[in-house]
Amino acid sequence: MVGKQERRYQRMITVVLALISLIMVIPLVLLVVASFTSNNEIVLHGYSFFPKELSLEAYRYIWNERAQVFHAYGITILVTAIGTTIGVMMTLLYAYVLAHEKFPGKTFLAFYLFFTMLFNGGLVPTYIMYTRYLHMKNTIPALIIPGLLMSAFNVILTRTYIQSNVPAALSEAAKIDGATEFQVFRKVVLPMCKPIIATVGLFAGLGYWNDWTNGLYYITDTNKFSIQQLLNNMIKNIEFLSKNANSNINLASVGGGIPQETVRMAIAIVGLLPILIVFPFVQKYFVKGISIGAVKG
Amino acid sequence: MGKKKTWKNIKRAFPLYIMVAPGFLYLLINNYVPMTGIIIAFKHLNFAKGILHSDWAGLSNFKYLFKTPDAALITRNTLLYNFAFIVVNTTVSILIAILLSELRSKTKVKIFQSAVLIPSLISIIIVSYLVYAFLSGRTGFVNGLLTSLGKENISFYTESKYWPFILIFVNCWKGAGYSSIIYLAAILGIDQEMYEAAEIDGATRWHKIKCITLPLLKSTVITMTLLSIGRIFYSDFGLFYQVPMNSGALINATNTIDTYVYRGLIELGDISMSSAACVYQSLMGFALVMIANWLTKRYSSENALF
Amino acid sequence: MRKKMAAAVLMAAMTASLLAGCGDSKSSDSTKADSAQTTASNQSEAGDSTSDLKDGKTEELLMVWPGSNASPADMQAVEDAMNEIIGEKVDAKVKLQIIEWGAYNDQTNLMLSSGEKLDMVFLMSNIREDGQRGQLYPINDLVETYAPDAYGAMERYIEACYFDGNLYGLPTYRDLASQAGFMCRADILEELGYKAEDIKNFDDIEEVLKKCQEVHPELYPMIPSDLNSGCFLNYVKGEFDVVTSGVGVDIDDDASDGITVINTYDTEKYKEMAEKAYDWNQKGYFMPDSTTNTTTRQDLFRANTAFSYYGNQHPGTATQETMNSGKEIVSIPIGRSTISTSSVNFCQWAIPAQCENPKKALAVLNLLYSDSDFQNLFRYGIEGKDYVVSDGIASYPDGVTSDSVGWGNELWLCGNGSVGYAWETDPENVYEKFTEYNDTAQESPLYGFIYDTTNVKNEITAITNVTDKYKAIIENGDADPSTTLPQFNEELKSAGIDNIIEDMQKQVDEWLANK
Repeated sequence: MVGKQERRYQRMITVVLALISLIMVIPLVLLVVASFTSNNEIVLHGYSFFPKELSLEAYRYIWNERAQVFHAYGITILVTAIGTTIGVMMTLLYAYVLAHEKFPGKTFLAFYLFFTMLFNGGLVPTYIMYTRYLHMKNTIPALIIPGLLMSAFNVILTRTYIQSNVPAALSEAAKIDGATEFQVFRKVVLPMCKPIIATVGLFAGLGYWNDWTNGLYYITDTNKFSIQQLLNNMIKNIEFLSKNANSNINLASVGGGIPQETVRMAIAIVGLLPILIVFPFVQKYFVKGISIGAVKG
Repeated sequence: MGKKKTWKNIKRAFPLYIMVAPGFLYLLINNYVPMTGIIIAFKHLNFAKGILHSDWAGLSNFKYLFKTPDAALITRNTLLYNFAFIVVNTTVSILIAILLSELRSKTKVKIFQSAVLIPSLISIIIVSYLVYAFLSGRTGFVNGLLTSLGKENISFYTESKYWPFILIFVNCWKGAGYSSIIYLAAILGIDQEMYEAAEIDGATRWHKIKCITLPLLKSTVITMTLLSIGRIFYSDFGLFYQVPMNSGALINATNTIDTYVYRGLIELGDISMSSAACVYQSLMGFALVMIANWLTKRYSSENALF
Repeated sequence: MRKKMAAAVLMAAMTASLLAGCGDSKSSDSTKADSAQTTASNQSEAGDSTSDLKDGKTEELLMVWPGSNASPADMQAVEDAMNEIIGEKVDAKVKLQIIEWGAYNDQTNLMLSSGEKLDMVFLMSNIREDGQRGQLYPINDLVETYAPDAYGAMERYIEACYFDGNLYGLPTYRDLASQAGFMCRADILEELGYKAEDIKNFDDIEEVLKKCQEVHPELYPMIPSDLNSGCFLNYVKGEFDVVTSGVGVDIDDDASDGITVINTYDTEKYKEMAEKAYDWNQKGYFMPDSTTNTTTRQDLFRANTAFSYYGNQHPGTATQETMNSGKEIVSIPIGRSTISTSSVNFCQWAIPAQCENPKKALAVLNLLYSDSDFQNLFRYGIEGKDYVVSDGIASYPDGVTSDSVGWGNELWLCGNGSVGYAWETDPENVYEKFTEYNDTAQESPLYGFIYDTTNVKNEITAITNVTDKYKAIIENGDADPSTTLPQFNEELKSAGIDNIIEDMQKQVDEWLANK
């Protein structure tokens, strides 16, 4: 009896989630279809789920730049891997300390962290800091460090998680058994943090993958372009040229013949695709059933 | 005696200081040192004189935010939208997270979770084109549907009354999946023994959600809300500028502090004035979050931010 | 506690170094600038520049400009060849850096603000803003000594590059005047039975559009020239010289009895435009949803869905539009051709404030305005590899296309392009045509006046917000101007447009008195 009821319940949830997912995914479908539509058709009839005329022209345009595109993928993968690893470590350590029972300076450290979410000095001072004093212009660290390495948001999320999901009694017990802070962190807290590590790791990874501003500000060397910077430059170049085509300056090459509408869509796909491929591998860490009992035992 | 005890406590906490050091240093370099640039907001910036030696401007860089007939409108828009975003997004993302956690089939969870995450990966500029595909007057799907139903077309980009709903919907569509991951992680971290114990006691599904899941999500909800309050004077520029296609007829419904500043300074390019806007937004957010945090501390101290 | 203290001390130290460091180097720069100016003026009296330029110290000068490809194949070869020519006259070497269009303004702004190495930069922003911020090196006293040819070639236009008494840039040779015109598909115009010469004013245009609507209902008779704007964006171009926020002067205002600063949105001409826009919109000549349109005009032409637009025109527009839209376009001048401060000074070569040796930088720029080999090198690249010449006209060598070529720059950023070869797709005698176009343009009564916006920044921000709300709608005739236009002007008034008029009037009077 329970089994039947359960099945009906599962079916109901599935239907609701499927509906929500549909709403979430339909625009992506449109995006994919649009990137394969001929540019003229979009100009004439707008976007459509069932275009009359398919075309690969947008991808052909990007394919012309393939050497750069693949190189930029490489840079982004490198940056994402290094940045996420270091960043997540720093995040976990900071969060562990904030979730710790009272010690001198705890409130200060929490405030010190939170304050950075509200106030910032703006781009120019940050730029001066990283280029004139840390000499990071046109280096790989410039893609990793400024702004992205550790986000206060992630630290606070992790702290909240540790506070509400890792019982203080566990750490206390370990300490009574003679464990140091580092041992408690590694042996007791980390194993229980898998879902939140997956979460902040995902957020940090997405942050690196999708970032183009660091490239825009700090990188002018085409050999160090990240994928999003490269793609973003493509779009912005096209936009700049078409926007300024009517100003006084005589732009001879307004990207005549670039299928603008569809290239924009294809570029979004090129930036998005690797995430969709990798995401399922991250998902295995979002698992239920890490029971405190298991850790205790 | 107090002094001696403090010293002892500090000594005991030494490993903690070591652990926090990398993050501490990073924030120092990445945030605090550049933060001195805030003085730019109070200067008539002249690079020939240097930031430090530029003439003081007092509060004159802030004036433009208030000395305008639109001041009340942009403040109201910013606050109301953010308020709506907090309520709608939190509700929807918790709903998604709970549904996902109730689902038994691992494959289904994976598929649905990927699906709800997708919108947050699409850049807002692309989103604005997709919204346009649905709503445009000439070729939009919605109007196509209305026509085929024999109803009159709606010119979305000139009728501001629809936009509060459109913007709230788009924002939720784009953000709910992302935050649902946070709530899902929190649910997954809940001790399974609690549910098992409740089951033995004969609790229904609804009971388990109401009495175990939701209360345990409380601290995450409070944290997320406090964080949003800190940024309540900010708005997503892309959402309010790109998505309505900067349509003049919609400006009363879509102009926020950020879009106002952008439109105003696009010609002047005045760094001091844009920096003043940030300082203003931050200060207001700071004040509000301090109040909210103080209230939180009174009623559930462990959830306060600091 | 100790840690906190240490942190506080460390932070204070870093803070001081960050700001003071920047400030110090900057202020020392500006003192240097002062002393440089004095020495320069002394020397210009002495009339000897060679000793400064050939001082035996070969300095590296970083030269930055925009392009579509940040690292073209022949960059190094061009740089070497340029340095060879430079070496004969100046003890300096250039380091070339191209920044892509889309990133250009962001990156150059940061470079100018941070004071990092930068010696020559092509500016695509209004000189007023950079001048106000003190980011550029004033070249008043140096230019005639170290860049005499550039000064000579651009003398008439250099007037527009002053701000607050200082000269900040060298305008480039291009279409420095501006004029509005009617651009349409040549084939369809012919089919409708009209000749380009017959179309002289808006009544003629309306006749053509009406015919087009009958014969080709599938085409939009008129589309907007720019994204996010109305079809009549350029209708009043040439009638006013708009300085900022819609405030400016009537182009026919006679300076001899003083100049009257006006709100150009509150004029008969603007009203006439608004009424015509409304009328044409009602008649269906305009593309629907023009103001939120996201497709460029080139794409609309290419997709065979548009007949015409009303936009900017200059010698070569027809060729350029034909190339970019894949349809034969004819360009018919309608409005008056005028020259104003803003039509000249929105792109020019400038010396940034942080430049260590402005004299040598100017001398290098001078080559770009005078030396034909240097000019050809900078614009077209290596002869025989990137371009070939026949009869004084340059073109791609066999098998080379615009995609595969190793170098190439646009005319309008090459200093004085007229000392070099013309390009094969340019109209015949392109340089004579440009010169004639510039020379015959009507000069705005405010030509040479640069408005200092310091006192009215609050009003400008408020007004740009109001303008965004109404301008495109009115210029596209989307709303009845008999109610919308007064409403627009009402809001402009409450946003403080009168303060701008008053302030500008004061500055104009002063400027006239000193002229």
